[in-house]
Amino acid sequence: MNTQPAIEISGLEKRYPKFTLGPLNLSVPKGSIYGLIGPNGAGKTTLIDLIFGMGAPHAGTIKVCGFDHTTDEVALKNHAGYFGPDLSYVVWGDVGRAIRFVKGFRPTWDDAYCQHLLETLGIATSEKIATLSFGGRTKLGLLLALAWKPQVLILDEPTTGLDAHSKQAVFSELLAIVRDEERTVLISSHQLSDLERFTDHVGILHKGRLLAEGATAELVERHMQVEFTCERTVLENVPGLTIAEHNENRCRAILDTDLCSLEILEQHGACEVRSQPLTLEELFLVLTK
Amino acid sequence: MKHLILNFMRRWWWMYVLIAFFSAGSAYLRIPTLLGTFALICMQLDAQRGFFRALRPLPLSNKEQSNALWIIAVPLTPLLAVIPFTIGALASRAKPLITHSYNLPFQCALQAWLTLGYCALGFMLFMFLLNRRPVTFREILQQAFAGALWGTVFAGPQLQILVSNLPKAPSGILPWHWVLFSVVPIFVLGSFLAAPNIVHCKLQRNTGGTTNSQIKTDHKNNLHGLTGLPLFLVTLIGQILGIILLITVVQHGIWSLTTRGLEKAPLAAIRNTVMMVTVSMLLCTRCADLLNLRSLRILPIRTGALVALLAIIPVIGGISSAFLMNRSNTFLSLPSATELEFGGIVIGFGTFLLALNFQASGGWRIAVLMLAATAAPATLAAGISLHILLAGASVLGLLGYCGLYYGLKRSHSFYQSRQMFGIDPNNPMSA
Repeated sequence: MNTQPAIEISGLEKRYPKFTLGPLNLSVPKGSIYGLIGPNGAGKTTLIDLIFGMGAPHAGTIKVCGFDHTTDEVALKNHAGYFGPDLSYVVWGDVGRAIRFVKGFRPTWDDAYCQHLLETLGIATSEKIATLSFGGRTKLGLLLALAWKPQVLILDEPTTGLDAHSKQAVFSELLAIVRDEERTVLISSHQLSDLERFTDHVGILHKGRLLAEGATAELVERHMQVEFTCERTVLENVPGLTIAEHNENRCRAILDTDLCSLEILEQHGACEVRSQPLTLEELFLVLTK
Repeated sequence: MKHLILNFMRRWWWMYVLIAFFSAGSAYLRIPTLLGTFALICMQLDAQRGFFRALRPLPLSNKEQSNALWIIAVPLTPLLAVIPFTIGALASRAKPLITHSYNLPFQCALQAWLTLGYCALGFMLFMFLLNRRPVTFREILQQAFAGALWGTVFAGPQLQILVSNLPKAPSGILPWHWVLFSVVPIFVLGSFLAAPNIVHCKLQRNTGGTTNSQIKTDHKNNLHGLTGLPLFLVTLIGQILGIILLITVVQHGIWSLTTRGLEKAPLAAIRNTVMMVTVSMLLCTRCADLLNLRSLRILPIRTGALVALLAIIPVIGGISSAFLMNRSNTFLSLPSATELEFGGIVIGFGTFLLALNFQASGGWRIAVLMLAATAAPATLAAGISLHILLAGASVLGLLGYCGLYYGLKRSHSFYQSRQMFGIDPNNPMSA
């Protein structure tokens, strides 16, 4: 079996006057659903845009299915599907015409699967795109990204504006896609509860830097929330400890157990230590504070 | 109500300044003009941005809102436009650049009166303009009709004909002038009575009645026919030609009516070279807003091929303008060398403007549009030789082509949402 990652990003850097993405190293394993999470302005969309050649990085390389994003741009796009909230097909008039437009560029387009998606997502081909709700447009964009069964699917905020039923339907389709272990999904989203349920890998991006990355369950298990009494200054530089709140001498922090243990914490003078497990959302909130 | 009026003026202050400048300038140079309908354009932009919906929860009655809108658009605008006009006219009298008979009080009164009627007519048309893309056949017809009238009220050769035939002094008043003056109170009264409906119409949602997709699924398949690149080309070329032809037909109809058969050739209006070139330039620029570059960029097309696809826009603009400027009486005869030169200028300069508009953002995009609108009149009025213009346009076209390639490859700005005055032409939801 080919163990090459589906998406491999190394040393990626993109500089803007007020924001810098990277240097970023990221690897998305083949056959996984990878969740890229981060607050607004973290650089998620910039990263995805760079993969598809919407802007050029100042340094680094991006490879999707082994294809370089600059030298093999057509081959890359023949293997990777994209959905993003800024995609618009209004100019095509109705849903059917938008489907026909995209279909012409995709030799692997599956008409039967497209019909299935139309029915599952509840879109009619005769509907005018201009009259679709925001959710309706999202569904159309997802359909156009899914129906040609790309090897890698890159979705930027795919669940924004979707109702609970549609969200469930979309995630069911994504799970079905990765079932064959050859196809991969990268999702960037703010909906952390969804990502925690559906992704098997996650990366937390903040201010252009990847703060944490790994298998979702491992990442959540690896971190724990601790509360203790100690002088803040003593613990400020302890590796693996991120202080979330400090009230007089009482601290609330996140502990990365790979880098720091409760014993080490106590050796630094922490007492009355209490620990409890974390959710992905809690971890995200503390790391990106 | 007072707050609403002041808020409008505060937000659009720069537009008032611009109009004051042009109003005073035209009076000083004694160029006949009718300025003042700008408030309606601002109001339409407000409507598209959903501003009226945001106002609705405020503790203001429908009557107060409609009265405020009517005051801004109809009586207030001519009043504010006539002040700089009078200043310009006084300056012209004190230090004249052009000498001809000019009855100052009469001109100011005429300007105020006709602008009042003009604004009132525009206000009524404003009611029929949709805040979003038309969907049903009835809406398409309504938008086409109201849009064409709206466009001809604000611009076009008929406006030029009208203002240049206005009397310079009371002694020059002709019977048709009296008819024109007498319809003004009718328009003003009509606009006042229509005002409450305008508020109601403009409060409609920016998306036309969202369909319940969960329930409605059709099995009628319209997935057959052209796909991919051929569909793209047919749609793009069809839309550009459609717009150019619509403008031609409307302008021709109005030209024929206003000149009352003095100019008999069927393509007389579009032979106005400046207008044709300007329309094509604006079209090239505006197309950049309508195309969603992201949806094209994610397709498996080489950057070079995508640039060639985009360059089709100015090429169609140039070729169609060369044919429509044709001196013969049919669309089908071949254009002359001069008309082909004009076509070439449109292609070159249009490509440059297209690249510029993709790269520009915010206020710069307005500057690009202004450039597109003024480049043709300015260069042609300067009397520069066509050969030189063509050479310049070729260089700019080449630069534009390279700019498109470079931008598609490297510029993030090319893929940003193309909002203007807060309105994304591709995504009315954002309004």
